[in-house]
Amino acid sequence: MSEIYDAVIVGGGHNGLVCAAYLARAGRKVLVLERRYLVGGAAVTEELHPGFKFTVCSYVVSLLRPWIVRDLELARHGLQIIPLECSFTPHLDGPGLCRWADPHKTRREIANFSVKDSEIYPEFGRAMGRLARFAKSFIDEPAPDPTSFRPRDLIQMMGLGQKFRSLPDDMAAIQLKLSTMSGVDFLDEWFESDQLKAPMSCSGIIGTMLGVRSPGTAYVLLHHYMGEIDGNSRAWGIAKGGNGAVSEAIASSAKAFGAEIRCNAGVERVLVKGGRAVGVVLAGSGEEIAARNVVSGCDPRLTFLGLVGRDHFDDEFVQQIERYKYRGSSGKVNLALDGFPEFTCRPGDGAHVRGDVAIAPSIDYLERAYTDAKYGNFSKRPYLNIVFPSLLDPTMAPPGKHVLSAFVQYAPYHIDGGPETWPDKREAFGDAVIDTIAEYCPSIREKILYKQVLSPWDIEKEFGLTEGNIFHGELSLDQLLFQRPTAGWARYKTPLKGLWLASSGAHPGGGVMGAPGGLAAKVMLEQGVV
Amino acid sequence: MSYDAIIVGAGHNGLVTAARLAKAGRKVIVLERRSIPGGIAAGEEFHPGYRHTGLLHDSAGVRPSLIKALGLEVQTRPVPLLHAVNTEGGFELGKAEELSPYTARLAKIRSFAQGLLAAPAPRIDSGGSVWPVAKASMSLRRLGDKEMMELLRIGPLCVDDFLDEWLKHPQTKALLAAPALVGTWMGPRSPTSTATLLLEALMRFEEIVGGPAALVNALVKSVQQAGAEIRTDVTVERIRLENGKVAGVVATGGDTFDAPIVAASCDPKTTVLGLISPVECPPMMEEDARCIRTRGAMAKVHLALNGAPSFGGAFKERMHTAQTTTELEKAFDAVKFRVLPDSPPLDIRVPTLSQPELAPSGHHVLSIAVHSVPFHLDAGWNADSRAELWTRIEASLTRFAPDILTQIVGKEILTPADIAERYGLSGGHIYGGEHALDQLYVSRPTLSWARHSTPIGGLYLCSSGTHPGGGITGAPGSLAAEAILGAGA
Repeated sequence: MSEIYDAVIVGGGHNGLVCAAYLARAGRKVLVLERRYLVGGAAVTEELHPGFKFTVCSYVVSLLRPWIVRDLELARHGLQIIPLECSFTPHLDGPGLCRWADPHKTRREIANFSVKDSEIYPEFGRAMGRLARFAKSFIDEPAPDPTSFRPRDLIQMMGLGQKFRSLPDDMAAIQLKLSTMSGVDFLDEWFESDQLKAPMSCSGIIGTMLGVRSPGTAYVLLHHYMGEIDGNSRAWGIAKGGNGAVSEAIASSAKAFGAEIRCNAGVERVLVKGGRAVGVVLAGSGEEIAARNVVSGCDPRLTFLGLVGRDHFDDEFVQQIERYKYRGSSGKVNLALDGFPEFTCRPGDGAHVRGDVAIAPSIDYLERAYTDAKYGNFSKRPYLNIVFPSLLDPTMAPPGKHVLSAFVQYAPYHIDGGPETWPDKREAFGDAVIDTIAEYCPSIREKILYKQVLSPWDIEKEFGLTEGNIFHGELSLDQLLFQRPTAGWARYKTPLKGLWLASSGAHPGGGVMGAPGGLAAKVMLEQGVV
Repeated sequence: MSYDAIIVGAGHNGLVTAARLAKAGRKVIVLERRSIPGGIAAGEEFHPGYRHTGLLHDSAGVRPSLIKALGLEVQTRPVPLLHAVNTEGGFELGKAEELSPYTARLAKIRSFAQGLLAAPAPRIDSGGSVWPVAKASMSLRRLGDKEMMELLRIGPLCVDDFLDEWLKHPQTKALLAAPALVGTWMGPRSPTSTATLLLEALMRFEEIVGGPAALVNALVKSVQQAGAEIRTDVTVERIRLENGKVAGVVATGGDTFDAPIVAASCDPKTTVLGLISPVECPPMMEEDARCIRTRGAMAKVHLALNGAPSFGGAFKERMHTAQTTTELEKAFDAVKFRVLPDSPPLDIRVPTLSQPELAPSGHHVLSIAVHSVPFHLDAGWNADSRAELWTRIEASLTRFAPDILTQIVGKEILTPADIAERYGLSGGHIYGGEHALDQLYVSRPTLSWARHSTPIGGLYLCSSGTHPGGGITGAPGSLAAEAILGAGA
């Protein structure tokens, strides 16, 4: 052991990098250790096929916190976000539905299905925008602690209560409904058209083993109105160069502040001495790296039961971590295409496909996809969220060629026969996805040059995400706020002294937000431990 | 005719409100559309010589304190153990030893939950005072950090996950999950169903001998003794307003009844959308009422039998056919897709085992709550779908009691549509509003009028559609009466 770091960060995912950057910015000596050959974790861009770059796992940017972008000067480090202008839902009959950034265009589209809905849609957007501002007060600071009587915590709780009470009554009611209702039940109060409600309800199911009719899925609808790029509310975008570019910008910023980053340096375990985390041991070489603090950018189960080991925690905590729900439910299919595969219902590669494309023709379709998964199968006809990054960012594919990124749900980790049987089912799963796309884009099959199919099992093996859960554990009511990952340990601190959790498995949760990493660093600095 | 208060509907909650107001010296009249009082708690002859004890047949939700306060002449007794029906003879649920850690778990929060549900729900939006909220949160904190956090953790879980933490036996799990789903629009894998499980499991006391029907008889007596009048065969057409305040009601045929207070024991949605003229209804109130979810998912079957059937070798007062939570989930899938379930779970009550007088000697009555039968059926409710429903019920029955069909001498099938029609319940919903986290406690039936009063001066709600919710409890009726008396009316 040559030198002692103030903090060593296990895992160079975007949260680990954000945490490192903030600590380094405050003058601390920081080292990031990444198992793979590149940083980014689930936010990576890889050239899987010559000339074609894939944003392998995560694929859009919206919730990346503006304060992080500012503090870490990510724009200066090369981050460029291209806004998505449209959200397109193709149909087998009729022209489908496009929801545009331009409200007037959206209104005309929705009027094809329901004039009433087209009139309410802007009002809905305003209400949600307003509540999104309320919800943001939760994601930009550490989780409130309802058990604490410390003045500071009481003030935080009362402040949130006051914010709630100062909402107009109708807004307060909507907020309450959002927190507990199903996405579909919530939308039913506003809209009548199934074709509109179906794609809207999807945001609530992403990454969860729940359906659009499951209570608790309404809340995530807000996320769509929380997106912010350069201070513009509601904008969603993709990063130029794929989501790997987000990670690279953060890494570059961290390095500029003096952090060290080592790739191909997988951590085998956390070193514990005298009831304290004192460093890490690298896999393979067995090299020991000493540090005053160990910060995990991995998910809770991998961190506590894998890297540290259950012997270092009391039984109750171990039980809580074992109970923490993962249940990965999504997969990813990435395709390299020899040309653009047109949608029958709206041909061409115009503005309508320069956003995300949701295969979500009806609520029953989505619920059926969930029903398949509930009983241990991948969806025969899954919900897909497709993006063609090459249409917006020509650097992703050779001229005239394209890359397609399809987020697929449902692909349950706990598939019939056990997760280890996924390799036998991967091909059939990929076929189900391509068959689904082909219903809307009949020419897709002949254009495929390369195909990557990631099941949740693959995601676990390749990216270290337990049970393939893209959010490091379900974003369900019982695993949010002061209960993420478990009650009493929701503020990045862990029961093991010197060990911190700065990943999506901590408040405020998953997605390319950077908030867990940034807030963890702030808490560590504030507490003077680093 | 002028009164202090008019109660619309003689359901058991309406009767409780009436009794409490009359006991406080108010001049009260109860108006009932049907020819008998009791609503879904009323016992009826469904086949010549055979009586049931209520559309809902469970009466363990009535608090002893309410029985005492109203001086109800009823006997109570411990609830008979639930018999788990299966093809291997079945078992008594309460006897399963593995149950004790689970019941011990529930016992820890029982008094907190009962306290919460016995008091009016505080107002948490901008209009309310901080104190009731502070009081409710203090009672939560008094549980201790650990219990409080545990409650916050388990409430949002689905019952399947929650029960998995405690139990292994699939049928035991199914039988504990099944009551949590009654009156909800959820399956065992729907998040937040643990909250409804707690609501149901923690609000159980002794049951009333003779079931809901006996409760109704005692309530009618109590109401009349207190000096209030119950009039049946009077259909209230609309609640009359003057200057935006309640002035009375108008009944079919033009009879009018005057009173500054109307307490509606019909469900909130029906009350607001059906009994208030749209011209006079405050727009927000109408909008709120429209959003109350009342998707019924229960049918009811009453069978008259000429002998004692054998359910896998047993014949007990309380039986349930649920085998696994997966089976319950599949039944609920049918509700979601608006079709009939293949094998609907049956909650069976045999009142004649303790009250042989309900049927001719040696004969029996089966009161069967058939769950996961959707009100909203794609095919619609008609003769065909009704026949199809019976076929499915038959299949569920004969799976365990193969000979039962030969014993049936009479039957009554009430589809959710029939229930809606007969009892005037929106969506055929037996609780007058789904039990769901956003439709309970501070927001039952809606956040802005959850304390039995409404935006219309003098209009009160006293049905199961209000806090603390559905089932035969009388609690909403009692809290409504307190709200009326507390307002100085």
